[in-house]
Amino acid sequence: MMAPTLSCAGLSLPDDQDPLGVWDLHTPRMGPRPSHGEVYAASAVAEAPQAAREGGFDGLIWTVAHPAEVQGRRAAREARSMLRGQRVAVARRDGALDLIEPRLTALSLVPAFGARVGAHEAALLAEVTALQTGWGRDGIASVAMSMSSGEAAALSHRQMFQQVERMEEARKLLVQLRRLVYHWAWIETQIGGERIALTTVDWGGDYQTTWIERVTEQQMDLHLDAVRLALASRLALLRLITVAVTGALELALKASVPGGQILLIPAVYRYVRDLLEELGDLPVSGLPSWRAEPTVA
Amino acid sequence: MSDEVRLMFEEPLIFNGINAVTGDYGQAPMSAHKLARLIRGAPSPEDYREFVERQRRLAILTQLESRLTRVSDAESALREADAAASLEELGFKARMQAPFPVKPGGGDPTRVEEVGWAVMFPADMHPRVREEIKEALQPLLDLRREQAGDLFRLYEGGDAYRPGERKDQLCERLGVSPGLVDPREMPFYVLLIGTPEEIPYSFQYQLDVMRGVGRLDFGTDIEAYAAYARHVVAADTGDVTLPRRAAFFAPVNAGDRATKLSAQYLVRPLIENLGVTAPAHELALAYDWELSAPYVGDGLATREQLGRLLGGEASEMPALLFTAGHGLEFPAGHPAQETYQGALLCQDWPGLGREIKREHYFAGEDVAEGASMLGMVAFMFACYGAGTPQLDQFAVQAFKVREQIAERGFTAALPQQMLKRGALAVFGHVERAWGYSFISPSGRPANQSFITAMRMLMNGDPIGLASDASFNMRYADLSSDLSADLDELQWDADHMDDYELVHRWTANNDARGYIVLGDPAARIPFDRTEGGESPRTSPKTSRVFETVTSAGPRGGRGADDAGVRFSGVVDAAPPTHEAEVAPPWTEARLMPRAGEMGDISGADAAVAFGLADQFERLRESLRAFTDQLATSLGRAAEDIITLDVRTYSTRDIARVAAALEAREEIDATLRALTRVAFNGDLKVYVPERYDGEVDADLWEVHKSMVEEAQQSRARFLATMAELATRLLESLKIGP
Repeated sequence: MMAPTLSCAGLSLPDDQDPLGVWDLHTPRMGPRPSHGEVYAASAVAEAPQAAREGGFDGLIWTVAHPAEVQGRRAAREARSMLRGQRVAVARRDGALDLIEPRLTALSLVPAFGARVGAHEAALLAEVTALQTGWGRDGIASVAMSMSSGEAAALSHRQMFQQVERMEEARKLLVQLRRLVYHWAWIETQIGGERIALTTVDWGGDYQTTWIERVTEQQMDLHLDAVRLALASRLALLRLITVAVTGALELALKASVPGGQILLIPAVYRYVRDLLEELGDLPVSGLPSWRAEPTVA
Repeated sequence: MSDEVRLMFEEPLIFNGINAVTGDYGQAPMSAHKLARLIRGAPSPEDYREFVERQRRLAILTQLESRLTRVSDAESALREADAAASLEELGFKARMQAPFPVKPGGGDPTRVEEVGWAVMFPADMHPRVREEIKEALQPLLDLRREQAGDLFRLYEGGDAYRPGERKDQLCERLGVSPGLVDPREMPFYVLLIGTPEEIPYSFQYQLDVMRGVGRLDFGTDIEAYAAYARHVVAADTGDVTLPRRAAFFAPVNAGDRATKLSAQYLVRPLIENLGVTAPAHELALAYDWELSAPYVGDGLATREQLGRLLGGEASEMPALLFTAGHGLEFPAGHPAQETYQGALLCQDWPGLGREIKREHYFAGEDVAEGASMLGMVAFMFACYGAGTPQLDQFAVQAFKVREQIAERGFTAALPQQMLKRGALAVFGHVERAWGYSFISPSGRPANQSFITAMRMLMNGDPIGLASDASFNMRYADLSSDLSADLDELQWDADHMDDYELVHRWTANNDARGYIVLGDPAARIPFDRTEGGESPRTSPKTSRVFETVTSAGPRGGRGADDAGVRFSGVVDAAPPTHEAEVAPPWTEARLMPRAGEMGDISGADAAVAFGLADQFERLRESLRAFTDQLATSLGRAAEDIITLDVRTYSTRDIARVAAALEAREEIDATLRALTRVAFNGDLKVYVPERYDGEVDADLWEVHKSMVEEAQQSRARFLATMAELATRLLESLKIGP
């Protein structure tokens, strides 16, 4: 039987990759949500939540789309099993965050330390070093101010351009994270292209579910699984952001780059994402430790 | 290439043109490396994925059924043959190093009497329409016939342009030799009549290499042809005389590097250069011109101001107008595309990513009722400012597919309207304009083509000649070099680095895309008397710029080094002009002067590339994120008193979705409700079937939802609170 398609519309993360490895991410939309069957009016990344626009839901839509064959009991059971499997995968990655956080905390900028770490850590440390070199010890604000006033810059062009690139990357990620926390949840289940149920969860945690008439028991179970999976995913993503933000802050402090934590968020996000991919599919117990023992700076 | 410019190209390149639907760049920024790959026709798998994804998004926005068609081998071969023929001619022109390719003894190209004038119709234009247009243009045809004598040509009927015909095919058919122009075979000045569907832009580009070519496209608006003819005749016969005043209009939009670059490296140096009568190695100005207050940046380059310049306010209308900024682009087949594509985005637009509203741009229909631009010549640097072809050539180069960017090729509405209201010619860009073309490999503003063209116009030369000597020459030079380099790159990947390739390619494409709309023999009818209006020392001059001491020959090659003289003008000792008032630039957006015009300094580049703005945007994004988090938590806290779980059923779930989106009451039957109060009170409403029995299946799933809701809320609030705490800590140490 064909597996269901799991998609999250309205969220754009680096490389269009869901760090949980479950959802197919679509770039955010602009304008009113089309009715069932119409295509989205896709566009570039929305800079800000647009729920204030006349009509239209501009939030995140989590969709589980099953093929028509899932109507049968056996097919429905298999589909449920797949969805539960995805929930387990999300739970694993969520659990892996507990292991990644101390790794971040333990990262050191001491050169000798850098020589002994894995590829992911090395890449992240390289970013920190570049940021450190680029901004010097004066911090972002003072350098930017001196540039605005036309004073001679302490940076080369290359460094400036790299900083601009970092800032833009960080800004884009913040825009997306804002979308994640702004919008309430909208979860729907489709079977054979037809929407059979829709659940919204608002900020107070209130649930509202609408079913098509004559919905079957199997269909209801499938939608319940979809709701659980979507909300677990959202929670895991929020946790991931928390780990990334905290990690970026700690690294910026270690690097003595006041204000640099904002610029480090994308790099730390990617680090966490890549580690999740590596660690998330392993059993929760028995995760390998680092080859090198870290020393705290 | 200098290290400085190399560094500039290491940043993602920003291209002109704003998508009117998204408010973002029409062509997404890309690295020089990626563009180099695409130029070489060797995209990476990631490039393909991005291209496909972009097509997917664009295909959704467009009405066209098939935007992409693969270029067949036969078509590829044809294109290569076409390109080879074109390149041969371009290379010839480039090697000649002459400003205009009329054969020796062929005549003075400034004089129609000596180099001739022709009008060319498309063969597939309806005969009745053609005759009506000819009749409407009769005053102009009569004038040119009288001027050109035996060198007047009317290409119609068997001599008309045939559909799909290449320039070399037409020339062979008409007995026109390739190479230097012999006016007896085909005049130097050629006016094409028809739409880009009838006579393609590609043909105009090719014919324009060796000749001064213009186009008139008013569709079937016969009165417009008649009015235009009257205007040109009036201007050419001395019935119109304009003060010698040039105006410059250049928005600098928030967060937009492209307009900062064009203002800084194109407009500003252009004005400074034109403010000096005869700098060394430059075409001397035969007349003094007033360079009226530049309308650049905040508060100045507004839509309202542009309206005044375009005939809305007679006292402000310049004889020569130069604009630089974004032209709007729309998805192919968009209902607004033919009306508004190429419209000039003004300072009124709040900036990148922001919604573009109608009041932010100036389109053809915005020309004021009764406005007159009689005698004006305009120069517009903007994407699609002159027109839009049906197919995008870039996709062919990069991905070997033809991308349809419009249902059919069309002429932009704004220049059409300008020509109807008396403008003699508009020099603008077809397809996307490439801003990096005016930054030279040596790191200096490389706007020599613009300077030369403007100086020639200000000396009274015809527009077709001014464009030929500058842009066509540049195009020829760049093309022939580029072709050779691309050939070499096939064998030697290190022949040229990516940055040089990107620069040459963008410059070449940019130079190629400029066309003249209007009679190529038209010239600005300004006052040529010695004591005429707007002498440079006139007290009416409100702004004069600092003297630019020439730093010697500019960098670059070929046309950039052009020191030729035209029109028999003799160099005179340059008068000095003391600085009076500093230019009224929006200083925050443009670099401060660092002495003479020269290389880019670090601070200048920082401001030019918006480092400070970028940082401010980042801070704003972070503030918005934390504010949003706080707001969401606040909402959660307000609603925490009860937990409601509702279950509905409906026949039409789409209507329910629409109502939810609109935050309206949903039209559905409430089947079950559970309300859990903070103090533990519980209210439960159980679903019944039509027979009064409990709907057991629905009840079971409803209970599961309640359980899920209770667990989920607690976890969610805890996670959000932790995120908020960490973020606030982060901000405490923030910038």
